[in-house]
Amino acid sequence: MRQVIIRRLLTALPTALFGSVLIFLLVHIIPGGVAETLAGPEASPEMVAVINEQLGLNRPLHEQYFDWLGKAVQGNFGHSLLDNRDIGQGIADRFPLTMELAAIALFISLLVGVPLGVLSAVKRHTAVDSAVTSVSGLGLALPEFWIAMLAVNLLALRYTIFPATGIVPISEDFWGHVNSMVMPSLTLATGATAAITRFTRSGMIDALNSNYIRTAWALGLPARQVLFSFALRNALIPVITVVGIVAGSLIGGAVLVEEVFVIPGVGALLVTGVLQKDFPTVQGVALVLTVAVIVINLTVDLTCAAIDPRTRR
Amino acid sequence: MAYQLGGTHCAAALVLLGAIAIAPHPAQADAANNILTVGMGSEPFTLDPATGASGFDYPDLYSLYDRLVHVDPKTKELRPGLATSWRFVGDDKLGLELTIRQGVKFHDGTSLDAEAVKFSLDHFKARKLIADLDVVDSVEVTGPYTVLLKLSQQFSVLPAVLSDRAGMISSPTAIKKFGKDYPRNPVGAGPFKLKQWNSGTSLEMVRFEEYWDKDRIKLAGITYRTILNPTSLVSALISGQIDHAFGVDPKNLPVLKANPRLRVEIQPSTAYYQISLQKAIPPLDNKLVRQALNMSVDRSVLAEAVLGPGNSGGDALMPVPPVNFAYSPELSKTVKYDPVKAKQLLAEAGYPNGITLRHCGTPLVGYGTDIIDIEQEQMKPAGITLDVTIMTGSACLQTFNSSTRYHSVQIAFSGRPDPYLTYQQNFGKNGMYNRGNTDFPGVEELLAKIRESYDPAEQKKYYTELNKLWIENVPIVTLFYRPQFAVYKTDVFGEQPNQQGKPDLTTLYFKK
Repeated sequence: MRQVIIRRLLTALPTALFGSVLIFLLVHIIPGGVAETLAGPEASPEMVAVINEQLGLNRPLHEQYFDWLGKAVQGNFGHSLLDNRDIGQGIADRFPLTMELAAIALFISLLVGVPLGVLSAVKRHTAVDSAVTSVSGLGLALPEFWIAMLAVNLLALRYTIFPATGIVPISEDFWGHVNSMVMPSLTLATGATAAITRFTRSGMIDALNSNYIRTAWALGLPARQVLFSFALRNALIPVITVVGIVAGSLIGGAVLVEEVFVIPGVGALLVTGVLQKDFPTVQGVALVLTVAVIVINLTVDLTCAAIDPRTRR
Repeated sequence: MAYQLGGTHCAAALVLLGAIAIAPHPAQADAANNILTVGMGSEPFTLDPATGASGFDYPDLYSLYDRLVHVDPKTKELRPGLATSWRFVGDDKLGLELTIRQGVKFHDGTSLDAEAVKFSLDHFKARKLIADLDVVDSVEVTGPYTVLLKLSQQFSVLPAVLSDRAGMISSPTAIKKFGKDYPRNPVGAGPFKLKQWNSGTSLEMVRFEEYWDKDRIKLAGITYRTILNPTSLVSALISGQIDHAFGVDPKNLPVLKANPRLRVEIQPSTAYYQISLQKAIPPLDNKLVRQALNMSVDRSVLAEAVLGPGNSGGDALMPVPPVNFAYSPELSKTVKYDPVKAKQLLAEAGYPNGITLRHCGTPLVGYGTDIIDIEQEQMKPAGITLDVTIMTGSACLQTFNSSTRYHSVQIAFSGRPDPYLTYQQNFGKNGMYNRGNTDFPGVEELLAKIRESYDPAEQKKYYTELNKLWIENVPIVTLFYRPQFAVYKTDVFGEQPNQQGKPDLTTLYFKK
């Protein structure tokens, strides 16, 4: 088990490094820059030159990159080119909210997706199964920002149940926080729920068709034991693998959902950074997100190994 | 076969949902505490007046900083601010003497005197980002409350310039103390001081009790909430989370107007949409081609498509709006959409088969695909083809400024504190937005006459001449004026829209 962890960590390191070079280059390939943004929509060449000089942006690219990397490995992400704020602090302030949003969405998608998938598999080829399959198809197809706008229109504007925008800090008001998290996390959870429902359903159908389940029924074991102890446990392994992928896409999806619901997570930081070419911010956020996804996948692999001895190789 | 799926879970979930639904709505506006909540479409990068460039930052700046010179929002006359009086001195008028108001304090307790004003103006010039004070050679302290600005040339519009960013006085103590971090720790002498800047969420300001003119201020505080998404801004207005927003996407006005709790106002502004032209390269180095381009756009149709029916500030043939004294109403209809004549002009200029312009735009309303699609159709009969690239605004500008890859860029111009600056920067030989630095005959002379004229009626005469030259030479294609679209809750009063469309919200108040 320890070897699995070490091997995983060692492959994660070059992945993260490669990611940071790639992001750095992508940000620099597109024309435009921080100086133009700072100088405003009516920037003159003179103003732009002054700002580039001040920010050290007229240095060679590799020099800028290694300067950044050298500090980043020491835990110093540097300062934003746009507003000179400490990037590490900015990420530390915003990251928990993005993770909370993604975690709640993941929790909801498991809470809803697994039972629905089981129900659909057990009642396959019935009206219930068709309904679950069609609804989950819809959930996969609908874009999150559209669901978000629909939800705001219905649940915040027509019936004022939830706030239309913003998050109440948990330190200020617990129930207010929960209240303001409902729509964003439900919106974010739709796609993931649909995916998990479908994977649970197919995993469960495979399991239910297997010989050991037929034997279990033949032995006259109670339905609860056959379905949950035998079938579901085996059906869940592909689902857990999918959870790793879903978690990564939830973090990505959080960026859009944060924008519509005006949530100050890392998403907003990333979007502004990319659009305005504030590359230290983009790299800092991307690096932290990459590490988060790697950690999640590592956790998923280890969970699989714990449940299924066959994968411990 | 019958299976039961955890009934207790369902029950728990229902209880949780119930609890959520009855919880209060904490994200509502804070009117009960006399604090105004404003929705802002962008967050400032800096609140140092010397280093920012965004027109969106003005409400924050007006709250934090008082200015040397004020502008009466109704008559547009200059009024005493931190400077109680000013006069040009010397036979050559190369000095502006300012008398500073006594007894004024910054938020950090520092006294605002002549030394502080000098420090702040020097700081503004040293940042080198805004050209407004370029004609000021040096600032001298001539008494505890008098300063002398020494000028390199006559500059009659300087007092008006001091009503803008350049005249916002920062605390010297704070600039020295915070250094590079001053832009995030702004200290002025304005009616509100910064309480907390929650990055990405809000800027909280509270009333400054020692403000010199505090009777003017009725609010206990202003919270500027950052809501970048235009649709979310509208949702926040409708659901009552914010009391006011400006710069609202006009396409949403019908929905907002229909809401009985909201009041929609269309206010004047100096902003207009334009096509910037690269005049250093053919074909736009040719005056006839620029004239042809100027008559190949149907301005009213563009305005209606971008701003919505009835929301346009009017067709723009000049770079100042009708409310400005430099506007010439008699010239406002001298160019009409006429692709046939445009085609003739192109042939005359040596382009009988038409021209193709490499044009850059940004995927935002009014800056890109929507407006350019219509322009392409309108220009087609004149034989003008737009070869379009869509990139971010900063990418378009960088390429446009540093190369000749694009002939033209679709942008909006926010206007300047004084019309002189608008004309000088776009039309003057060394103007920073005069790409190609074309020397238009007669323009430099007229600009000099305005600089040296201290009589508005006389200046107006010169502006009329400038407007004629503008329409003849077409340094840029001005399209249509964009008014300020502002929305208030019906219990909010006291707005003082200024001509620039850069709202000063400090005088707003609640009336129950």
